[in-house]
Amino acid sequence: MRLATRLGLTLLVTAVPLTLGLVIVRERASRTAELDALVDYARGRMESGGRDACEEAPEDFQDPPRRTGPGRFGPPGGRDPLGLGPGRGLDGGPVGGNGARPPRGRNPRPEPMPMPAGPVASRFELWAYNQDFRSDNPSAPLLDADLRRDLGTGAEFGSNSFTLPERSGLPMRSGFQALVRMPWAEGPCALVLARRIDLADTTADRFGRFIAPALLAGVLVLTTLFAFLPFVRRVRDLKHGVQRSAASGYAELVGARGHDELSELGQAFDAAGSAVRGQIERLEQRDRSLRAFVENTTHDVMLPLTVLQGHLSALERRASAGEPTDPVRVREAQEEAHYLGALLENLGAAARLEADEVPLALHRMSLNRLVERAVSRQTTIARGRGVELVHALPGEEVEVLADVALFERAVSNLVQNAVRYGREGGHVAVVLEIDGADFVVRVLDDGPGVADEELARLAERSYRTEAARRRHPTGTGLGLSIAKEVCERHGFRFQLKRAEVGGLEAILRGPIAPRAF
Amino acid sequence: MSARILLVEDDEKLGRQIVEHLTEAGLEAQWLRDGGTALGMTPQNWALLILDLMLPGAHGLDVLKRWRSQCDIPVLVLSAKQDAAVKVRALELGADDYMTKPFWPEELVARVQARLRRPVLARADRVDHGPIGIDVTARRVFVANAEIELTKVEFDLLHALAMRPDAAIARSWLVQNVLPPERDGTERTLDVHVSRLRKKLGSAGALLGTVWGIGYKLKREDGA
Repeated sequence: MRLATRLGLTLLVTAVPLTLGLVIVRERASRTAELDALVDYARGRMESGGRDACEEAPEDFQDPPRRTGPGRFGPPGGRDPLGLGPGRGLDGGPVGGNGARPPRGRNPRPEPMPMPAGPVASRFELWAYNQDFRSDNPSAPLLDADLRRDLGTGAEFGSNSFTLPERSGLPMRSGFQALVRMPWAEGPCALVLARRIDLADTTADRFGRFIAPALLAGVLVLTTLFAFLPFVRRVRDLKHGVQRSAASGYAELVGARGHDELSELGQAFDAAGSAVRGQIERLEQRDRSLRAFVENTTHDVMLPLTVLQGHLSALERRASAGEPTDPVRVREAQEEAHYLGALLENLGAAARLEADEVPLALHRMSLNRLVERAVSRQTTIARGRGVELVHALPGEEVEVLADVALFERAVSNLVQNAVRYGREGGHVAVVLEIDGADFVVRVLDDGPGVADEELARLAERSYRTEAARRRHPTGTGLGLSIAKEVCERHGFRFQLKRAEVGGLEAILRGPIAPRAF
Repeated sequence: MSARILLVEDDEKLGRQIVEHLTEAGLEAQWLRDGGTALGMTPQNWALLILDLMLPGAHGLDVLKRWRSQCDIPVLVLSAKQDAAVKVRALELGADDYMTKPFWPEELVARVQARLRRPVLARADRVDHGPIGIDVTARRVFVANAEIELTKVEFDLLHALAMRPDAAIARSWLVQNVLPPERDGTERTLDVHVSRLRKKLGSAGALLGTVWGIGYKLKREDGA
């Protein structure tokens, strides 16, 4: 549901019952006040002379008296100006005066008494009845059953509304009446019916009672709506802003105006958007560099693979022709296969290093075993190339805190480079030494070595962009750069220099892991 | 009697190759193709276990865990994963060594043989290396049972090399640990001592080999 619709409905749902409740409470209060006024009026009139007049001539009592009977409280058989109809006794029987009391010698006319204030112009009437709900006055109106029931249960008064039918040119009237028990509780005037006959149509008046609260509620609803609609509009603007921003890949800002919670929400969207944007840019950057990397290296995977296929095909041809196996070809095929394996491992390592946020999985491990593994991995190729591959370990275990996969790859790369690009029939030595609190891994060969400017270039940070070009001819590109970066990530030192024995010497140096107790 | 080796490897080609190379090296190998069967084996019947990690039936690490709880024969793990965590986990679970695929079969055989080689019960007072016998307590050296006279430095040098037979020992280590500290020992001084020692050892002097780029080692008599 839309926000505005929901708000409107909510307001209606609260305003309507609230208005009705107010009207009902008000109606009840005014009813009670009217009844009290009517009862007071009846008692007051009867006590200030009405009783005397009534008991003097109960068959004639009516207050105010009919105009046709001057001097009397009310002439019998007079015209009923209000069209109240002829008085009838209860049960349709004759209205008889019994138990008439002698006059008390007081002024039989009731004292003028202020009329209770009604909602509209009204006329008030009093009629007298005895305890049995009968009136001696034949003109007295018939008592309703519910009034009789109220008084019958011992109540001091009962009340209800009534309607006078349209009659002899007079419009339909409505009114309110109360049957009140008099303090004397006996005689023909023990009960008095007080009637308020509304002279005007009260429908409009009743309706009027609804108007004020309804108007109030309406004004409230409208005010709230008007106050809220700009808010709704801004929420909608914000939504469109966010949609625009998202559509533009979070390049466009939501740009909320103002200094309230809504604008803060907009700013929060902008902040989230720029975080997402940054994330996307990082991912795109990584994607680009990885793709470039894979493109560059695919070439190098294909190259040894092609050479390998060539060797295998030549070997197969010779074998089919029954010629002896060419050991050089076999060895070269082995080297290519070995290079491929190492290249793929290096690609994996490069991908891990490239993703900067991937932490190193540091574990304590034996550097002696690691060096042994790195050396033993190259023995086959070394033997094939006639390279004497030797290694030396200190007498004691050297433990180091490192990422096993990455650091082993780094050491393997150094050994592999020395074996592959050193002198054929030459030497490669791998030495693990302890120097104070440090370990030192030295890999040296007696190959042609690397020119000084080449050494400097290998240390460059941008090696990877050139890696594809440099890698295969010299073989030092990817393997050495990965070894270097692995060392940097571990906080180890990596150094390439010309070996005293000739050739290249690679040195790794880092702290020995403190002994665990 | 050849050592019995249990190989658990699901790949047909690789498994066949490994068995072939082990057999060529004079080792007897039994080959299982799934981890579930491996879980139920009694490891005590073998001298060494070669275990692939990615196996049908049960993961290699689970097999390793089960075996390790039963005995402590050497376990060599084969892994195609570069994942450091898997290697570390395998080592933590008691694997003695691991090899990452791809590997050369002879590398595997060499590792297996290294694991099978029982450590020689080293006696602190007596070291024998081929024709050379060293009485550590008395600081006397015999070649083919004939005693030879050595200086203190020469004795320490020979003793240091004989303690780790066939292992190359770096010159720098020997300079630091063998040459007397009060004298300004250099690697050249060391070389002089070595050549004198070699002479004194006579026919056994050929066992004292030079290792390129490193230093020296006492070679095995078979001349490997």
